[in-house]
Amino acid sequence: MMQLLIEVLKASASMFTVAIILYLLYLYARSKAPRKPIGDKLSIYACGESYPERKASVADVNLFVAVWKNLFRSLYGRLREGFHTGILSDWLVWMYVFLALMLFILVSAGGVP
Amino acid sequence: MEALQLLVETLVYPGLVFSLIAILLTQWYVRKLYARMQNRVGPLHTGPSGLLQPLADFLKLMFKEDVVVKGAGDKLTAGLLTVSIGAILAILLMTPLAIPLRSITGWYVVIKADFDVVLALYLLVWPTVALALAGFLSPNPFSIVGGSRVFSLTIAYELAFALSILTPVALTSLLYGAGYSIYASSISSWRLWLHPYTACLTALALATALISLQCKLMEKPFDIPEAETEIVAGPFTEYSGPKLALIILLHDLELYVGAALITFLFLGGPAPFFKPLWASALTFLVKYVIVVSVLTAIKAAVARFRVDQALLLFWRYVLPLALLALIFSMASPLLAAQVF
Repeated sequence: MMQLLIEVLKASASMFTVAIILYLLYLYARSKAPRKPIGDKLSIYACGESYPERKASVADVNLFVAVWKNLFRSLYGRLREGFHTGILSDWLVWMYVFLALMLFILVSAGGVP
Repeated sequence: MEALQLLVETLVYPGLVFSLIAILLTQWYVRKLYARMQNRVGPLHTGPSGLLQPLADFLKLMFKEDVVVKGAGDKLTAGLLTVSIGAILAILLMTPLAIPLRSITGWYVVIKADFDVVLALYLLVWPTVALALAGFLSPNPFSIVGGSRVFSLTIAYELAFALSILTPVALTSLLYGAGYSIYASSISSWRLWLHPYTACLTALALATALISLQCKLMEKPFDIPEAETEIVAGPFTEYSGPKLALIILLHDLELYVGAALITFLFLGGPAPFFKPLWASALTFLVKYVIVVSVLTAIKAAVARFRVDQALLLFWRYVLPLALLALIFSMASPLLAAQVF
């Protein structure tokens, strides 16, 4: 395990050495640019129209979850029809079942020492 | 002394300088081959047969003005990209690519420990995260949608790629005592092709690794995050000048390191010609070029998938096949007594 830790440190040293050199190269190249961007180049545009900054971000729920919700919509629908009743105590039963399953897996894997 | 050796290997061979030359040549080859497949000539004028065109493109972008729109991440994006380039280059120190250095200087450093495959898989994720975050750091809906597409695809292909990489590593570790080390697995992976059972598993994992790498590189048919007809250039819409040069550099390095890793882990690197040095280098080069050619041929031959089609392809076919190859690989010691 100690050997792996040493190798991780070596890899990190290598990684950050390259990163620092490239970052300095980036700063040098940037300083040598023939002109600095000004005016309209610095404002946000979308499809040729100016765009307010507050609208230029997307709700995080639509970033990641939306694709999966669409992809597994039929599976979600089937699960909902089969298991969802809308009664809180039913939900609690499912939570106990889930907890029991987790405990079973933990015990069968050797348990907590 | 070891620190100096590590520094030389990081910066010269097989690290930064050698990799820059290798990716420029690889990029020239990819552009030529891709152009020929589309009945074009590709780069022609800069250098002999356009050999210096990728270098000219890189230098041109590097010294252009760096436009940072209002509200965008500036130095953080550049920092993310450079750290990711460092991460992907560090993987090269885990492969036997530095072996020729030993024959010339008498020394070389290698990152080698049992279970270091975990470190390699971790370092391989850095570029993906950097490219997605580069999209999120731009105040542009196209960039953010592109970044979200990168993350959505990541869940599918990173897992498949990791499982594919683990298959030859597990096989060589269980059968030849490679200890789940990238270096040791690369040395003995050619022996996997000698028996039909391990050869079938390696071939299956090779196929899934190539498809996953194609998706990781965001090349057709998986160029969904930067689909120009839908979302301009996805996460890279707002980038120009030196930052775009770093993004292109990171992408080309991913291709180079990914193809080199596949050549070592699945195709045995320089095997069967380990000596003399020129023969082993030539054998490795031929295998590397074959891997790059296959990836380029896929890119030239197929059209882009929709995001849901790509995800379903991975979850229905690529991921189960990669998992199957790994499960049967883990069972190989049980069969070893009878078949090996």
